[in-house]
Amino acid sequence: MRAAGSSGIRLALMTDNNVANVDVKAFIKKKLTEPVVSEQTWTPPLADATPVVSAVMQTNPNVIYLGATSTSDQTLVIKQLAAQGSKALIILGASSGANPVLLDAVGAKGMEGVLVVTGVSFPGKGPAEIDKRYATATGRAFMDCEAMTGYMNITILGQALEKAGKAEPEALNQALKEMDAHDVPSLSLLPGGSRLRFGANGRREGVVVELVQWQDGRPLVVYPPEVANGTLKRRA
Amino acid sequence: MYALQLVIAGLQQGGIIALLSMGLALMFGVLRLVNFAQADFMMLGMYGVIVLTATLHTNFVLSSLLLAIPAFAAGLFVYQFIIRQVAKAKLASAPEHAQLLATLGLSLVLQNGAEMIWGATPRSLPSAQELSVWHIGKLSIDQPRTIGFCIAVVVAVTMLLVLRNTHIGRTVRAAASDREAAIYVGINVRKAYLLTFAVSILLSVIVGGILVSYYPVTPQTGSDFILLMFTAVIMGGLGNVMGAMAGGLILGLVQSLSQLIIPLELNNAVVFGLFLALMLVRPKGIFGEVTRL
Amino acid sequence: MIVIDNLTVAYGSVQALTGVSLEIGANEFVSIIGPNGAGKTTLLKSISNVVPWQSGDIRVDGTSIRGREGWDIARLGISHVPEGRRVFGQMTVEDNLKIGAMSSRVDMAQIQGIYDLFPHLAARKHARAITLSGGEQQMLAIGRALMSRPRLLMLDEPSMGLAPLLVEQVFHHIGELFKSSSLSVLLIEQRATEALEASQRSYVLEQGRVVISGPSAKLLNDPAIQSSYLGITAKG
Repeated sequence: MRAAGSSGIRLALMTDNNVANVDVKAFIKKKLTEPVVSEQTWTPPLADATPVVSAVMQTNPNVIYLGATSTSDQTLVIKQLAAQGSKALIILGASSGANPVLLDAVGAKGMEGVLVVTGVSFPGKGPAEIDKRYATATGRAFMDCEAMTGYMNITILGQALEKAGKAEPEALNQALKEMDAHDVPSLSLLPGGSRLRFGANGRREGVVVELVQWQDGRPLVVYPPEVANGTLKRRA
Repeated sequence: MYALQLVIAGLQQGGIIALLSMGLALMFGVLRLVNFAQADFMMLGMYGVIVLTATLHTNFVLSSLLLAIPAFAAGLFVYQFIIRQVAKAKLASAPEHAQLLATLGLSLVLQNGAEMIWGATPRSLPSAQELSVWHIGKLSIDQPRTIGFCIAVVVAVTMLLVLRNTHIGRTVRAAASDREAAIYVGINVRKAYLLTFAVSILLSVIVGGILVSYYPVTPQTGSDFILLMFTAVIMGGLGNVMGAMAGGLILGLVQSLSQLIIPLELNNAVVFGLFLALMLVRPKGIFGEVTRL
Repeated sequence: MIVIDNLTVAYGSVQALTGVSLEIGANEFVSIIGPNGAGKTTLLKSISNVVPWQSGDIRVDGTSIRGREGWDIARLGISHVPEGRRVFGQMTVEDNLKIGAMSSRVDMAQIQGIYDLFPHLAARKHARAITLSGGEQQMLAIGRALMSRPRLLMLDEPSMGLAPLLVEQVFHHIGELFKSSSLSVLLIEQRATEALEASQRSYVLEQGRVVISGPSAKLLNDPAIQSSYLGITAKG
């Protein structure tokens, strides 16, 4: 196949219609110099990924951005891509993509090389201490993204509540906006260098994303370098 | 080629919905009972097969067969101790209303019970990891789905043959057709109802066994299917088992083929749009609202 | 073989039968006539135990049937051909007959016997019952009831909705059936003349009570009956 642009990237966008994906897709299209070869959007959950994957495979992409939020959609699409012989690099835009449960569903072979973009930190050099406590308490290898976000949300809210001094929505809202937290212990679960700080528009500032790549059945942090415990592998 | 790929995918998916819907239609046709918990029994079947496969180190087909016994027993239990008691207790203006609410309640209990036991994270069968596909030219045919479809066809045909050609099948059809006349010819209608309920639960559980071979399960998986099941049943004509089968297949095909002309995001909109249009033209379904088993 | 003793049945506050007593002996043809709403159908339903009765008793061969399930009554040798025929419409003629046999082992010779009795049915044995004419459906309903080899055949308005020629045919068949077997027959009819002509003994039911009873031949000549039920007024 002839490459679509100078970089040779043939990107397919496969996302559910979760509203977060709208901005992500607009951003990707703005940054990418090559046209997107295929764009498929579905209403989750997918009953069967065969049709959507068949449509994408017709355009012969070599990079696939998969914006699927539910584990069952992720499972069905990744497996179906492999089944239809896709060799494309899969970039999974959901923290849950680094969860062990996805590995259980798809298997190490199917997950090999899948890259996950995440806003929480998986065990690299980062959150080792909390993970150890978690492992002792639950017997699980490491925290999945639901455990991490749940834990962070509660500790952040807890601190904001203490700062506000009363359980009133306005006061709590104000306390959250003024927060600039370094000392909340759970924040070690944010990717290296991240601070918890909200800008005037209420959005987080100074966010660092983490990239996790599945290699030999393990989710390895490949970016940012400070916390990385693996190196990015290109797919064969 | 692409269209053919979509037809295959549609049939595979439609076969599963068809078998599920047949159980629902059978239950409605015979007992006049709308069972909202039907798909949750499928969900239980999915978990059941995962547990059995892990403990007995066997495959999903064998596990599904083994699960048939407890599934049947569960059906007997639920009918005898919930559905029948609720109808007797005169809790609502009509026994059907009380039963309908009871099945809604049962659905909540089953979903949350499953969440208590297995948690909310999706589970899969280890064998579901294997990526087994047949390649025929440019077509890729998913093996577990094809096997699942074949099992669904065998089960559906067996059920229809039993209903048509055996004494027990005839008594169920007679009880469905006219309860009082059935009593006059010596049919124990309560037994026929009990049996029908249990068989229809059994069908759901078997579908769960097939589905889990390629589809991850969560406690809410049933909710993803129940709406499609009702749509298929109503499309085929309420209480019409053959109609439900056709309805399920049509739904699968429409869902899959609609993306040839309409964005994928809207594929359920196409399904329900078609459904609404059909209801306008043929309010009693494609094959008419007759109890026909 | 069956004795009804002082039977009282009420639907809520509506009294359907009040102190009805009657009996049917072995190989006896009894008819019950009376106007619409007299309680004739309720009487048959009481014997089949599908409506509960308040007081009195029904005894078959000296044993009360109180508390027996409706479907068990057929096993006592009592077969009920309900008003409006109520054949199983979506099932074939032959399946309707098979179901009447109450057993998984159906004697095909017996089915042939029914076809000999009602040749019309033989011609349509594979047709769905709902496609049959009213007369054929009545034959089928009787045939279905005979399949259980009953000792007592109860017929509820077999002439209802049939053309006059067919009515004659149905009564002829019932008469033949009675003569050629040891069957007892309990016939309920609004067509009083035919019922009285066919039966040996009759009861007249009015507003839930037996008002007159006796040998049919005698009732046929009773001026009171003639004017009330037979449409005959005494001439000059």
